[in-house]
Amino acid sequence: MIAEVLDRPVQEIPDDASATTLEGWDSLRHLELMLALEAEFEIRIPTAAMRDLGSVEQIDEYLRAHEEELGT
Amino acid sequence: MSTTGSHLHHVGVVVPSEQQARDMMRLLGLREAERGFVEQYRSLCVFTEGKGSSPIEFVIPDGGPLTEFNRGIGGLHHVALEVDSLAELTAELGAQGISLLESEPVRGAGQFMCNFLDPVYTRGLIVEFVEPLRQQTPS
Repeated sequence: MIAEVLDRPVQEIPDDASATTLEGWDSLRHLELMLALEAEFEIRIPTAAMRDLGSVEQIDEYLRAHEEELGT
Repeated sequence: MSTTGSHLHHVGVVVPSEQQARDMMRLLGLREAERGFVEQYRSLCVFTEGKGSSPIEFVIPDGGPLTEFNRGIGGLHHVALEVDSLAELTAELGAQGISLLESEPVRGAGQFMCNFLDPVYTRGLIVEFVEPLRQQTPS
């Protein structure tokens, strides 16, 4: 999903990718990514959490922590 | 918040080329007032004349992430609100746990400093805050 939103091949998104290391992961794309996650998993990510989910690892951890709330 | 009662300073529109900006100005009967290159965003910014109302800023990216805005098509990008003090605004927002995108205000293409609200707070709308640079009068 991250690759899709950032419009890059999956192999160009390493597990340790973050908004600070990956070109193109700017504030607007970050919002697109957050909204895509909300739609895909049928969850509402609080604004404060959105600000904190600036890496693949943090997103992964967040989804695991909220696994019971995920719609899919 | 310091933005209470603030007015619209300008509306920012991203266009992929200067020619497209010129075409749109001609179509809308607008005239250029001033322009400048903002290195931070690698963009040429062209402001139209306001004639008493808020101008349009055409943002023409020269590389960088803005070239990808709206899949490269461009379009309405931000609304800019004028504030008295970016420093005060930053402090007020900071007290609410809200930070602006830039750690320090950026010099805009006109006579102003600016900073942006992270679009996660508006869930889509990019808001720019603008503090006009006051001309110092000789003492």
